[in-house]
Amino acid sequence: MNNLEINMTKRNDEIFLTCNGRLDANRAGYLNDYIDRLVREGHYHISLDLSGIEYLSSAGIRTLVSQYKNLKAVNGHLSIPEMSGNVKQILDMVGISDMLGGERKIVSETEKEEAKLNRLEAYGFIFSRTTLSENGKTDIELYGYPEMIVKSDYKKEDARVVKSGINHFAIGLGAIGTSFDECKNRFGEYILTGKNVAYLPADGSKKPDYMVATGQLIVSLTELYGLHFTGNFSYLIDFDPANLKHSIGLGRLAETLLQMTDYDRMAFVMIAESGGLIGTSLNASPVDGKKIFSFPEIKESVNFTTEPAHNKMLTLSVGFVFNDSNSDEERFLRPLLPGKSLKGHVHSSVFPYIPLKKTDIDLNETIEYLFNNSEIADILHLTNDIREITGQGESQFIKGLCWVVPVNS
Amino acid sequence: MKNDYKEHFIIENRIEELPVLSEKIEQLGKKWEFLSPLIMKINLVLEEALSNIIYYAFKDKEIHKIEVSISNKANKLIIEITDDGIPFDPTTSEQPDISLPASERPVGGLGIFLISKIMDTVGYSRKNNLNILTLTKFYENIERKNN
Repeated sequence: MNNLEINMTKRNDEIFLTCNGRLDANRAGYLNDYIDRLVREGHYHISLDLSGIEYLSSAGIRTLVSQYKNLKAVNGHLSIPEMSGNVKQILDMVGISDMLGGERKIVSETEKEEAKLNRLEAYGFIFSRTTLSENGKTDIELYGYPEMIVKSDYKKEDARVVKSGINHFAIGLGAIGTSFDECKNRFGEYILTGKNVAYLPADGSKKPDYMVATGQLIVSLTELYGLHFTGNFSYLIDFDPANLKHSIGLGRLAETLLQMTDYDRMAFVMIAESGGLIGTSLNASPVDGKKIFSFPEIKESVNFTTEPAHNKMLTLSVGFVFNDSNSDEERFLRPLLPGKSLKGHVHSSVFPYIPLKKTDIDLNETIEYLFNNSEIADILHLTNDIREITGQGESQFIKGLCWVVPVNS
Repeated sequence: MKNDYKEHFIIENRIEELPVLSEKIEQLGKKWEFLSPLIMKINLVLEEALSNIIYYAFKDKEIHKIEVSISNKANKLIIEITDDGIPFDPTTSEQPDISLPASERPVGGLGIFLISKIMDTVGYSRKNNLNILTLTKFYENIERKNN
């Protein structure tokens, strides 16, 4: 048996995990994620039966010790009442078998059995979920070749015209206008939300341009590439910090949305208060093969956040998050968390802060309100800058609302 | 029966190679009639030493070969691990602290600690731009079958 198998049983509010196989560098992460998930679901009392573990390495020990500490910190416990001779030998050698092996702590008073599916505490935030549509789902349409940005030589035949409309959401590279020639010197990051289109003209102005469709008017956008979906949303998920000092990174936020909905692929629209955004946008239109990404041109032709930007502003974001993406989709996606399969593509538009009402919030109304009553300040393609020393990390959010929809494969 | 007391393995610097090697060590251990706790210890030592190399020794994205040789003679095991990564002496160095949560962090000081607990000697040398880690262990007859 060259694998790790975990079986879960539940008694009152204690979880028992029976593990069989090997706890080594390759598989310790599986147990770690498994326990992480239980903790996020609100299970703080976990007992492990390791009598079926034939092999334990330091990666496994590290998982046991760090989860022991995590659970202790939240007044929970992790213990190993049963272990194999091999496991005992190793834990004895390291001197922690007493700490981990000890008897089970008595489970504290009564813990509330909440409707856990609709409420989840994770990373210092409380997430609540409201069902919008039982059978909400969407196809996605991926248009164009994002990878061609490197050459910055998009041609007329690469472009197409798309129209805004209710329930249509998209992000990509484009410009308001009805032909390639007309838009040629302005192609930049766009975000299409229903009838409204906003984009950052890459003409050096660094000032977003937008159009709101009213009445019969429809906004035309010429795009070089784009990711499109239909806003047939299944859930509205709001997130609020349990502690006022908290903010949550985009990657963890996306991960939690997937976990709460049990989706592997989703599209979303989010209205959230920013805790500092990290991202890029074009400052030169990627046509005519001009040098954009070479040094030193890149300093002029691409905008980078040099520190977390737009703190406390209101953001309207459209994004895609995939845990399992095929190779065609991968061209449109970037890793969201180092070392994880989670990938995504998110554009955020930034507005001055206004408080959001908590209940009965309607997405289209809110977007209309934003575009009509306040002035859009910026548009960013969010990135996760994971360089070890100089990396700025990822965008943070303080609180917000996410309309989510599962994406068909 | 030439070289029956010695085995030689070559793996690439990918963490997925470790379970494959571990299975081969299991077979080798059985051939040498080791009991399972001893085999486990050998595997543990190899996993610690090799994951250390795989995570830290190579700054490029290239494929590198890591050589592992094991000899077994007169109740003495000698494990020799050779890699062409950056110079690194695990017998003296502290592991770099990287910014992952403890549970996701690759093998650090704990691994070296386990190696030195299990093995009797841990030696390091640098020759021809190669790191050579030499580990020896004297085992008891009761750690083998049919004694």
